Amino acid sequence: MILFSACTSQNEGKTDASNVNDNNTAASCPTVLELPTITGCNGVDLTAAGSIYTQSSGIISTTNGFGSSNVVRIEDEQYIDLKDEGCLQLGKDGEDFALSMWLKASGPSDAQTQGTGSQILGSKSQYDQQKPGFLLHTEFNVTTEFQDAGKNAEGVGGPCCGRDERLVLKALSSPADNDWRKTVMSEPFPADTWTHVVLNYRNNAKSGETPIQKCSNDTCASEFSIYINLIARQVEAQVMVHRQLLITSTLVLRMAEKVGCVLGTRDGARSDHSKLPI
Amino acid sequence: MRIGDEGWGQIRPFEIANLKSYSRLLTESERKALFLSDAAEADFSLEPVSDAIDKIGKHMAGQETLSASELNAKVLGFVHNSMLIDTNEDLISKSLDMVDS
Repeated sequence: MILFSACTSQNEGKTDASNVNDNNTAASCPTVLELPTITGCNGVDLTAAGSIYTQSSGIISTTNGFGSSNVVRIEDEQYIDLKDEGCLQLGKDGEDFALSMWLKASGPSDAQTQGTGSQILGSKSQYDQQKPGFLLHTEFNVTTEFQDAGKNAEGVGGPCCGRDERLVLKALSSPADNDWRKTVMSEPFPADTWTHVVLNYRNNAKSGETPIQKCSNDTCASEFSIYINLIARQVEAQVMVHRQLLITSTLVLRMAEKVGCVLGTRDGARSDHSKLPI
Repeated sequence: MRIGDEGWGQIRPFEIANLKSYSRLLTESERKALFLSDAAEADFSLEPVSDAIDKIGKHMAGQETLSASELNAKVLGFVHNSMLIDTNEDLISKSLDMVDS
């Protein structure tokens, strides 16, 4: 464990970097970060019994499967329907909402012959263009390197071509007026690996006509932002996110330059913004 | 809302933990607190970052030669865990020193 000898705060509801496994013994005094306050409709456990309306059979729930947290495993044809009431009606009255989770999703497989990835959570199906709502789902990451080579990464199943071993998350949304469905795509992340995901939805149903480069909080369109292990796409990122990532991203780039190592990243990610009555 | 399969096509299995909803946006510091509170459970660690800085620094100084695959592994370990760098002042300093070198 890291030893933060000068720091004693480990208060309930707060966390700091001393929670992170490590053998590094350098003394440091990290900023104490506050977990979101759990009150009212904030911090609602969506997999708790009180949130569930019905669920299919065969779903495995493992007590303390992720630290002290329960793990729910969803396979093909399995689902949990949440109650359509109260705090579970996200964004119903035009308010913003957010989701936070740890996700461990499977990569490509020859066993999946219809569809791609996993539908994680949402109020609509990815197959129903007309129905208003949103859906968070995974897709298999595709690189131009593998596409150009006419293959998938070694050992990666599924149809050819371009798939590496990673996933992306997409948040798609459809408005009630049959307008275009819009999608935000996350940074790529490893399959079969615990990954922290935050989905922020900023609801601004009466605006959206001002270009994002010029808009303010009152005139920007509604938007989804997906954060994968704290990293958001630059175009979705707030100023604070740019600052947060400045050190690490600069270091990574400089290190890559110095060692002559080019890291594969996905180009051409899209960012769209949506009006989303849910 | 539904968690999981909508019934069309097939889905790949997934596991989910600590799925929470909020009736507001989560701030940068809240996102970071949520990440750090369970980062160890998800096997995030400063050790690969520290190791990468040490080994790549020696490689650049000609003190210890790494193969291309070893270099790639070190950089990937650094990248995967790099969001933890700003939780440790010593690592920030070492990282900046390496960039300056």
